[in-house]
Amino acid sequence: MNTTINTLAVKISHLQFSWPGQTPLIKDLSLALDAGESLFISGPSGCGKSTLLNILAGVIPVQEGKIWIHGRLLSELSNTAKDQLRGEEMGFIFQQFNLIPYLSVTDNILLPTYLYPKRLHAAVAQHGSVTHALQYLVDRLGLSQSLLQQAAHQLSIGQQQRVAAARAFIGKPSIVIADEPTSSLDWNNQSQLMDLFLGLADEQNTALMMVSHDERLSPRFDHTLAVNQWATEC
Amino acid sequence: MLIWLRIAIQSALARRGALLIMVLSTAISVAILLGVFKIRDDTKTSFSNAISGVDLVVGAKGSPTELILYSVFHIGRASNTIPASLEKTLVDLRQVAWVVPVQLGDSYRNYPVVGTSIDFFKRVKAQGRHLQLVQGSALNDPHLFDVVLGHTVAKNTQHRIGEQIAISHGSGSGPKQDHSNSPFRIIGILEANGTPIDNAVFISTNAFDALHDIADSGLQFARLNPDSQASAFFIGLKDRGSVFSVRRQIDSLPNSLMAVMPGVALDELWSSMEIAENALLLIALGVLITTILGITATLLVSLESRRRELAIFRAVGAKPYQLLSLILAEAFMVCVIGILLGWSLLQLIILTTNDHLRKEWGVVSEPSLPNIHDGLALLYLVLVVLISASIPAIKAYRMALSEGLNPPS
Repeated sequence: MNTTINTLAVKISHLQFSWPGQTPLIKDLSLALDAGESLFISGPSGCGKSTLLNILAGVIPVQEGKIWIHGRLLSELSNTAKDQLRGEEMGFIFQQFNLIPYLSVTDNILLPTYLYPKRLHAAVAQHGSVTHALQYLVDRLGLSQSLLQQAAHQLSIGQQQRVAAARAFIGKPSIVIADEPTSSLDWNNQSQLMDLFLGLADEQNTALMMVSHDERLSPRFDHTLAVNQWATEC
Repeated sequence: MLIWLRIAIQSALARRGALLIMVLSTAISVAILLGVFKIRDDTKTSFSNAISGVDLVVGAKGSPTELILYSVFHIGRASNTIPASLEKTLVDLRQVAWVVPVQLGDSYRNYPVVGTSIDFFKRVKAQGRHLQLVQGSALNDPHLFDVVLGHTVAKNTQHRIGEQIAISHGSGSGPKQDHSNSPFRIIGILEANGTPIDNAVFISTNAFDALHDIADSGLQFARLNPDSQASAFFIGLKDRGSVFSVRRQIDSLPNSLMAVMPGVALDELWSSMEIAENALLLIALGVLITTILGITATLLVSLESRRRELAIFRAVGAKPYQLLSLILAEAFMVCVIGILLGWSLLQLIILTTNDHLRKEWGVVSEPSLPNIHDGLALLYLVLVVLISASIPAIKAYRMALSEGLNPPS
């Protein structure tokens, strides 16, 4: 069992969650996501998608069931260890406001490598140097090198989402969690960006979990999870 | 660590407008705080230096405070006078270098008239400096009806050198006798020194005696009273170490004399004004509390605009202590820059106003480094600001991650 878990990016076993005094929001959810695999989570608002992401990120404690991230049981970790796990093994792309506005594009992308040597070493191992890793991701995500020294607040929304993706993927995390990262873009840009995200995840052997309302994106993913499979009230 | 310092600086630069206001508000508060301390200390020092260079003040036995009040500040009146002839007895004491008589009781337009010797202008200091004349000369012939005006007297009466004035016998609200037929000639005007000397009129002891021995044709030195009385004597010693010994000798003279060390008496007098000192301290405390509340409030407000930023840091794995450090470092920077700026501002104010303060208020103030009390107050300020800043810092840490994963719509 342990050997199997260690090869998985994420494993959720019989997860159950309810807010105090309310009926369970998440009921008996189990799933496993291998390194490099992608999962599309869809469903209406208020059905526990964000709650699930918060539990995976270690923000909301696990009530019942078990979650392993990169082979580590979440409920056994201290808050500090959860911070470290998040920094070393996870990348996040939010719906909006992803970047530190006053930092340059370079600093925004390299932030995880500044904080965690493991991410730095992984980036160097993968591309020879952190600068090459940065340039590769910038090119791969269709950003111009000339933007590197610009402050993040000077970028368009689309550029910001690409920079956020570069930050999430740098240093080869085990899993990237994306919470409706393309919802503010038109379909063409959404589609293009989604292809880039999935391509990068595949290249880096990083698991990608994405939440979205837009069902049209789901066929590109290895697995799909609809909220009605685990949310009791949706 | 360096990366956090760089981020803290870049973050501060990005919000330089708000932080500048915070720094300025801290600087002004610090300037007021240190200013209040400085005023308190300098006022006390200036009060103690109202008369300097004088080792002992001798008067009739009674209250030391009263003796200082009337002989130095010209407030009230001597309960008893002492024979002017005692000057010789005092001069004959081995350790005594000089003796200056002080006679009080008369006035010119309600300004006290001081009968004294020529030595008064050579020996007595005000605020640690020898008396200086802005015009004319000091009393130089004890047998002339010459007068030297204090700076305030000259300024308020608009008198000039060479003009003649009529001094009145008596002071306060009692009966006075105007000697307009025996005018005194103004020969000198003293420079302002911020002490009671500015408000006094100086004549020779001989002339003072003549005021009390009046003939119909005017004041005459020829009819001086051989039993002339003095209000007090100012004494300078050859060696200040002998002050207690001389005081004992004077106290044991058979003339019911009392010798008072002016510094000690002035300190005692100052301590009776504790209420004013406490009021100043209370103002300083109020300023300190306002500063701390101001910084905390500004940090809390700025936190609102930084919620996303802090959330992103936590999402990429920043540890709580790193976020705490980021906010505390900012509060520390604001506080330290505010302190430096506030201190510089105060020094600039002192530098540009010290002449006015000395002349008009009698407060001698010079630019200086913070003393130990200032340092402690500033240290408390920094510590309390850091403690206060930890409130928004802890709040930021608690909310940061969930905010990051649940962005506001």
